[in-house]
Formats: sequence, structure tokens, C-alpha cells
Amino acid sequence: MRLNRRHFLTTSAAGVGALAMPGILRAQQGEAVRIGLITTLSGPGQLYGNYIKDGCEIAVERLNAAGGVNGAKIELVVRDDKNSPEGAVTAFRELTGNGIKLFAQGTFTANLLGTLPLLEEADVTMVMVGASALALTHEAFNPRAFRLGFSSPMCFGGYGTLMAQKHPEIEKWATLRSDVTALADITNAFTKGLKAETEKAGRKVEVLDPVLVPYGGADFRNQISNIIGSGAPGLFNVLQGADAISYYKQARTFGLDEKFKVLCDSANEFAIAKAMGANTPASLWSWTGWYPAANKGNPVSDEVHKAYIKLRGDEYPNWYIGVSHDSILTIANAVAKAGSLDAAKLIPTIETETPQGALGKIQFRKEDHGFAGDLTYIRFGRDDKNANGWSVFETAQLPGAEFLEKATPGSKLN
Amino acid sequence: MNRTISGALLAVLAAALVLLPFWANSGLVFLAGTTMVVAVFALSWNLLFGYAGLASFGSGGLFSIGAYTMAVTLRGGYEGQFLLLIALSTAIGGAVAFAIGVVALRRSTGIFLAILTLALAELLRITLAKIHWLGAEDGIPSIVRPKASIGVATVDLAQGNHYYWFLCVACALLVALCWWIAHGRFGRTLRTIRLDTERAAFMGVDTHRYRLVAFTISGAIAACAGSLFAPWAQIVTPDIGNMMRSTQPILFTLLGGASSFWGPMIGAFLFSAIEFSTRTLVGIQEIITGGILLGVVLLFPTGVAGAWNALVARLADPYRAEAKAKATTLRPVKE
Repeated sequence: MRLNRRHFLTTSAAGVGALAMPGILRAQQGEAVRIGLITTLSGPGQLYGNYIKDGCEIAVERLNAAGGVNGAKIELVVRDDKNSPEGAVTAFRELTGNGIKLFAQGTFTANLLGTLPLLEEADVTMVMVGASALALTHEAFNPRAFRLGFSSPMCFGGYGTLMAQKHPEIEKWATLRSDVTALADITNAFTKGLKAETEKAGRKVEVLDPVLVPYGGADFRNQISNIIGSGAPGLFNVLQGADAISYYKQARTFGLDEKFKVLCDSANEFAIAKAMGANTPASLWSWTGWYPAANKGNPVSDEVHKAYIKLRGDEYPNWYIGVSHDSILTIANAVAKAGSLDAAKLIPTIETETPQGALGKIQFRKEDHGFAGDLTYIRFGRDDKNANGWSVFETAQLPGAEFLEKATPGSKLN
Repeated sequence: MNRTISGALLAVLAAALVLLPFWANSGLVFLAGTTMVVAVFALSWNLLFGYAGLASFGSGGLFSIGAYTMAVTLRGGYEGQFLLLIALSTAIGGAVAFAIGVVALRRSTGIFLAILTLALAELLRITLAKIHWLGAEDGIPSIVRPKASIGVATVDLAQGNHYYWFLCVACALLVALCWWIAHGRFGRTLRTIRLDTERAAFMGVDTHRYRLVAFTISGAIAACAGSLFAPWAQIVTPDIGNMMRSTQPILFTLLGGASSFWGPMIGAFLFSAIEFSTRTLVGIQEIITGGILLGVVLLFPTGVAGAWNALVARLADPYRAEAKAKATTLRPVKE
């Protein structure tokens, strides 16, 4: 058959139409409890969006296998926000226009800030997946939205407290970060937690001014020399993603392991070990939102872990898997208990219910709908005996509710 | 006949846009409103590229200036003067474009101007991301849709689809303004400069002045589009003027056709239609969208508008159209 322009265009148009059809067909099924998932599935942010999608799909599969919600199957309707507020708003308006009343959205703050003002008009209930920005539960607080994520004061204040408890012998800490507001917030929260716990024990601790590195930089050697020359035995590193990998790789040649007694990474958790393998630092603490081995005895965590290994063949899931699973679980549990999709009934149900999720008991502070679950920290490092080249040595958990910042719904936290 | 068919099609499409809220999903209405704004934005870019022969890769920065001006003034409680705020945003965008043009156009054109404007837009984006008063990386959310007063009549744009219809009217006026500029004496002079700068200068045209005015007008319209967009999206972030925004008009113009006044608008609507049709294909959407765009650009080097004009001409007079197609490969801007 000869392919001319007309054939090509006709076939392409038919193809696009046919591919778009499943969405139309799904919308006509009607009986299922539909949950809209809006996340970033294209561009650099898709790394997190893919974890969120996997976690939500695992939740839907598990819940449907257990009979769904009051006999009705759960259907996840996924849309890409293209990591822009207008992409998120387009997806939100399309899904609300199709009658969807339940939403999970995450994780970038600006995209959530784009949809939050629309919740009232659309009369919907939302769980914000993995979001950490303070604005979401403070100045931009919306009573229809629940943040299943960890704020900086909560997880890094807890981190500082844990380090003060675990290493009282360390009286001087160095910090390293990029000049980015979110990373400054993390550093400040860690410092605050560390100092408060140390002072409570009647001791004093010095935290040096942060050594700043360029965001997205590739050469960190000068800054590594500076922190090694600081004489501090403790180091809190707040670089993220690719920056952190380059930094640890370069720091290895400076003998970082030998220069510091305690090395702390803010939140890169297993991304470092997976990237560096046998070159992982000898011992490194990190915060994580969910680590299955720290939740032994929690059947939901075990099941989600198994499902993820089956799905991706990866024994060390990113914490977004657990958080996104629990976001769907929170919504499904509320619908089951309230027997309704009506936000007026769902909101008080979510506020009072504490379902068992992969992260433990899922509970929100009533005043500002901030997540008040447990905090998890892991210590891992190089291990020649393990085929991966690294192992997890230690885990610690703290009650997150104790570290939640003051609730100021509707106004900025001072 | 060509004009009659194209005019009728345009009228049908305009009517479909105005009536969209009566039958379409609210997501589609939002997308249509966004597309109208970016189509006007693309049109302003093509005034510069297709008519004055200047390529700017930083037009997103001017769009962002308009959006932020509107967001800040609305946050400041000036929503009662909405039409004045649009004028203010437009004027600021025009002034910034004029200042850049005065410095840049004498010294650089072509790729140098493109890179310079791209660098300035990125500088603006990074600066906005560091100013806490403007919300830093998270921008300014919850922008209110204000009331618009014309004489004694006041319309609450926050109600229902009022802001969508306001966008229809505002974008139509901006398109008419662009048409008037492009098809008047000023537009014809710009085309002369684009085709042969030295010859135009020899004929007594102050080429620098004309290009500077075109740069200023294009910047003002881009900022105006940004100011309309802020209350529509109800949030502005530094990424509103990022590199992707600056490449949008280039992509739309390539797709729709740089040789036609309507090309950038056709490109904008076509691109949105492709994106919306493939929205459920998570993971492969970019591949399909990119493949379709590549196919269109390869099959229709003069863009969709060029192909449409050729089709209508062929239907009207097949023999003449064929002879004309053989005779011309590079075509100037066509009304």
C-alpha cells in the first residue's frame, strides 16, 4: 500500500482519537468510586510523580482486592500536571467537570497552590501527597485539603533532636547547603531541634554558619575543603538529588568518612546508596518518609513493600510509595466510614479516623490538617559483605506530632 | 474565494469558542482560555519574527512582567481598576521592551539578539524566584478575578464563565490590533526591512527606529497577554516566564506557519488540541505529541496555514495553483 499525505493524516487522526477513547469509556462506567490523581508525569519532576502513581496504583489494587469501598471498586483517574500550576488547574477542572469529587495531588507546592483555591467551588476533598511546604497548612490553608506529607520543622526538627540524643558527645556541627529557601528552612529546623534538645539536657552545642554551594553545581571541592577545615565532628548536608551524588563522590577523595564522626544527610535516603553502591560513605544518617524495615509488624507496610517489589523489582522503595499509598487509603477509608462522597461528611471523618497505613496510624491535626504520623530515620553505609555494596545498619522512629509546628491555619507561621 | 472560505471558517471557530462554556467540560474551557491568551502571545512574537525579521527567545520574560504586575496590583487591592491595571501592565511591558531594544537592537540581531533576550528572561526568572515579597519559588497564589467597569456597566468577572468571555473579547481586540499593525503602512515597512534591510535604509527608512517600535509593541502585547493570564490561572510563579514559555510562540509559529498572520494562532490551538486529545496517554504523550508535530512540520514546511491556503487555492483554480506552487518555494508574509 502506498502511503500518501492524506492516508497519513487520516490514520494519525484516527489513531489519536482511538487512543483518547479509554478516558471517555471510563467516564461512562459510573458505579466506581473515582479518585483523581494529579501529579507530575513529564519533565524532571516525573521521578517523584512516577513514585506517586505507583504507590496510588498499589493502594487501589490492594483495596479493590479486599472488596473495594462498601462493595464499589475504586478507579484511579490519572492526569499529568506537566509540573505547572496551569497544567494542574486544567487537569483539576477537567476531572471535576467529569464529576470527580475525591482528589490526591502532589507533590510540588506551586501546583497545589494553583488548585487549592478551586476546592470550595468544585465541592471536593483532597489529600496533598508528600507535600512539605508550610504555606499549604498555614497561609494557604484550605479546610478541604489534608497534607499527607512532612513539614520541615517536623521532620528536621525531629532529626536535630534525634542527633542530640544519639550523639551528645558532639558539641560542634557544620552544615552545607545550596542557597535555596527550602534548604535554608531544613537547615534552620535541624539546628533548632538540635539546640533545643541539647539545652534540655543542660549542655551546649555550636552550629556553624552554613557553607553555601551553587544549586545545580558540579564542582564542590572548595566547599568540601571548607567544611573539613571547620574542625566540627558532626556534619549536616542539605544538598539534594544530583548535587548530592556529585558532592559525596568528590568528598570521598577528601576522606570525608575519616574527618567526621557523624555524617547526616537531610533526605536523600537510598538515592545515594543506589547511585554510589560500594562507594557509599561508611555511615550516613538520613530522614525518610517510609522505610518498610522500620515498620516491622505493620502488615500494611509489608504488603505494600511486597507489591512494590513485584511491580518494580526494587527492594528499597522510595518513601513516596508509602505516602501515596496511604493518601488513597485515607480517602477510601473516609468514604467507607462516611458512606458518602460529600466533602461535608468526609472532612470530619478524615479528621477523626486513624486508619492503619504503610506509615503507621494515619492521623491529621484537626486545626490545620497537617500530618501527625511517625518520623523515621535510617543509618546506612558501605558494606563489603552485601552484594549491593551497602546495608542499612540502624533505624529510629519519633512521634511526629511532638515536632509539628504551631498551627496557624489561614495565616503565615512566624 | 480563498478569503471567503477562510473568513467563514474563522467565524465558525470564533462562534464555537464563545459558545464553548455551554457545552464543554470546565477543563476544556480553561484550556481554551489559556490557549487564547498564548495564541495572542504567539501573535505578538510573530509580529517581531515574521514581519520585522527579529528573533527573540526571551518573550516569556515580558509575559511574566505583565502577569506579575497584574498579580501584585490585584493583591494590593486595586481590583476596582482592572482595565487600568491591564493598561499599566501593558505599558510596563512596553517600557521594558523599549529599554532592552534601545540597548540591544543597535548592537545585535539574529542569533545574538536571540541569546541576549533568552539570558535576560532567565535572569528575570531567577530574580523573581529569590524575592520573598513576590512569593519566591511558590509565586503569588489565590489571585482574585476582579470586577471590570466600563462607564456605568460593571461585570463581576469572578462569577461563572464571565472571565472566559472577557478573555474572548480582550483577545479578539488584541488580534484586531495586531492585524491592523501588520497590514497597515507600519507592517508593510517592517516587511520591507525584513526582506532587504540595506535596500530599505537606502530608500530612506529608519530601520533601527522601525525595529525598535516593533520590539516595543511586541513586548507590550506579550505583557498584556500575561496580565490577562494572571487572573485566569489565579496563580503566577517564576516559571510563568521560563524557557518553555519563550519557546511556545516559536513552536506555534512553526506549526501554524510563519508566512501567515493567522499561523501562530492556528499553531497554538492545534497544539492544545493534540495535548488535550492525548492527555490520558500517560508516559507516551510526549512521544505522540512530538511525532505529530514532527510529521506536520515535515509534511507542511509552510505550516498548517500555508497548507490550508494551498488547498483552497488548488480547489479554486487547480492549474494556476500548481503553476504557482512550482514557481515559489520561499514565500513572504501573506495576508
